[in-house]
Amino acid sequence: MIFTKIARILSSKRAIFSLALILLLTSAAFAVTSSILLSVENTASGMLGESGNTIVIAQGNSRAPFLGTLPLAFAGDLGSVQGIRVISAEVFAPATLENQPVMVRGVNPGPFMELQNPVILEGSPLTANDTTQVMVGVTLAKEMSLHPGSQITLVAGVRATIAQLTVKAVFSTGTPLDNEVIAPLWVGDWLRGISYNVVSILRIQVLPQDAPSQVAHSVQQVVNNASKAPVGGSQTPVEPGLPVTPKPTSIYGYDVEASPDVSSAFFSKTVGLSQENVLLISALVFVSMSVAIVCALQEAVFRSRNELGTLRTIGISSRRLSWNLVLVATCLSFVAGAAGLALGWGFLTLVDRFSPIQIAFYAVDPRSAFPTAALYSVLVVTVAGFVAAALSSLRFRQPLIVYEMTLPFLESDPGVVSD
Amino acid sequence: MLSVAVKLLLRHTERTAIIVLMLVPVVALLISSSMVTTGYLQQATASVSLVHPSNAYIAYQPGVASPSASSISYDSFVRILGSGVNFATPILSFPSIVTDGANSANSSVLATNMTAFIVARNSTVYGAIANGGNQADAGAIIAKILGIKVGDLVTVDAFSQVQTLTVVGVLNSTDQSDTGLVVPLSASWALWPQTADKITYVEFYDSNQGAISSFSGNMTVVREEGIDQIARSFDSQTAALLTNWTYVLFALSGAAAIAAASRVVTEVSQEYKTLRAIGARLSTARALVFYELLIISGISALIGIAVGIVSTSTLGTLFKAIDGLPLAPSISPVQLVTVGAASFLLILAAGSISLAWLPKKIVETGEAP
Repeated sequence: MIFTKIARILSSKRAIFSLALILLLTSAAFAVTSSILLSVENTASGMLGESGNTIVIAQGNSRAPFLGTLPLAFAGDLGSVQGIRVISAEVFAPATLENQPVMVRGVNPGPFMELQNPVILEGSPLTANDTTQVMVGVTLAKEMSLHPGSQITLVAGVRATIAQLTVKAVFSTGTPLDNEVIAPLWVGDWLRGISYNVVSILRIQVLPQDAPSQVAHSVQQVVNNASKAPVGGSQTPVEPGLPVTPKPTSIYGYDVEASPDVSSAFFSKTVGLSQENVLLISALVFVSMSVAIVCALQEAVFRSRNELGTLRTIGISSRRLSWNLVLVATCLSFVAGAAGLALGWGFLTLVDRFSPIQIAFYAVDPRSAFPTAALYSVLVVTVAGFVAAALSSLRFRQPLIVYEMTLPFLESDPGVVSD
Repeated sequence: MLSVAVKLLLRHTERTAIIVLMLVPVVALLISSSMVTTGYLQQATASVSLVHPSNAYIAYQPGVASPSASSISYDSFVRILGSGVNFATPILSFPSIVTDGANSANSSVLATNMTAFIVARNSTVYGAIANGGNQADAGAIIAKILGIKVGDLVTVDAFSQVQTLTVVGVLNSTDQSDTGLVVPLSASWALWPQTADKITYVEFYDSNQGAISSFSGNMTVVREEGIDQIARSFDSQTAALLTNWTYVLFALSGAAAIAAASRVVTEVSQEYKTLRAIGARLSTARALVFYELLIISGISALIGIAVGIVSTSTLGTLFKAIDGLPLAPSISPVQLVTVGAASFLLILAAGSISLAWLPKKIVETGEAP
């Protein structure tokens, strides 16, 4: 009953629209900020191709995981590690296609297809004897209008060479790999400018019954043992001139990192892109906006001071008045916060359409983390409304005389109270 | 009128301080974001300027989609060679099916000036270099796939003509030529007459680009290394992301300014009501409130700028110390003045809107003095 009355009193004032607008915008802004940043973080953390049961082995002391190198034959050294289902040796080669940056991933087709299991949307999958054929991720294919049979010329990013290739298939994985060109391992080596017995990373798929972190630990142990017992001359090419040798070699001298979170840790370390920092930035935005929420709520309460004062003088207890005010403000915050999500979603749709977000070689759908961001947003805005209302209602919890002193305007407005 | 407004604000120091404290975070947020985004963009732009791609180029037929679709006369190569470029190498490439015994694969034939090619590509030769006739060198990849060895006879099916070639060596250039057979240009012209006097493109080095201008009108010339394009693209990506972020911040600041300025006008409107009640003109009463708003906005902007600079610099140092993050906020006087002035005008504009809502006659609102 009191709840309805207070709601009616507040909604009859113009200031309530200002409060609703502030809450709406705060909710939308918080959702947009956290959704964009979380989406970027999601894309970045899966950039190397990690997933729940896939770990990555990369050179630990390289400037970035995709810039490091490992001996290809290290894959053979890992045969003794238990829990490994398949190992895919991969080379990352930044390149340009029609002046657009693209990431080329050189792979051995067999292990790659077994590990990644991509859905072939058009054409047929890459095979071991395809010399200059490539598969293109669906996002890149749509952006560049590529189909099986398309001829593409890739210009290497870090070496002076070009590769003229033919698209064999368009695939989809639902991961950042959908932005890449998947080529035979040697194409990656050409474009990257490294020899044929070197790769950028090894991706390992773990057997379902084994824990990825345990396998990563075992791999690290193999690396440590190999580093303690060097094998003389093991880093020289085993079979000069003829690439893709499976002969094992030692990894002595390599600082190797094996983890399910290699790229996530890299981006967190270098650009601070971690889930915690994303929420911290969103929270900073929110703290700045909370001033506006408090101002707007105080304004709404102030505008309704006569009516609320009347309720107080006709016998409604200050506690009851305060709690109902808090309840009304919290409900309003929840509704406005939820409505702000629609505004945020609309803004993100516009961003995606007119100013697409891209991190390095990978397109980011700014709405991919929206459900999580929306949850945080509604929660935070509702709590903010609650706290702001609690602060504003403090004056009703004090004796009437103190209440009047805290509102100096009432000193010059005694007739209204008595009316 | 201004002095009256100052006196009123000084008389209610507590109220003035609270209002200023409400507006300061809005200005500080804009200053802070401006410093961080400008710092990031400056770093990104500086990185782009440090990128120097190699001076390797290819020149091919103008108007075609890719170098592989190009076909130019050998005279074009001669003209490019004569223009003063370095390491000019003619390349003729065409698809073929290569068979060695029972194994065959879709491959290509690359015909070139063998000596210049091996120097330019820094190739490793296992065996001998093909010197004409029916001799060929096999690329390392095709040799691996088909099991080709030095001395093997391979058949090459191209332009519906099958030729048998003797492999005299294996070439490892770690580039696309490793997937095909490499033969002298003259041999290709003789074995496949369709290719006579033709080449596909020319590779060369040019350090000052002076020579390129002499033939670039008749040829498409592209760099063979795209690192500068990648860097520029990353720079524009960062700029686009920060621009979107700025839109969001301005929307937020606008809303916050409206709320805070509305509160300012409400707080100072008691003087307005008093003046109106004692019969002051509407313009006089509004001018008084406006002056109070002006002073408060100015003070808030100044304090907000200072708070923004101090907090951003402190956060930058803390982030760097704790996480080692490369947060390098930019402090440019012009930028600070611009953003500070924009914040000031934003608050003033928001307050003026609230001012317009003040009642012309006090009795109309039912809020009697």
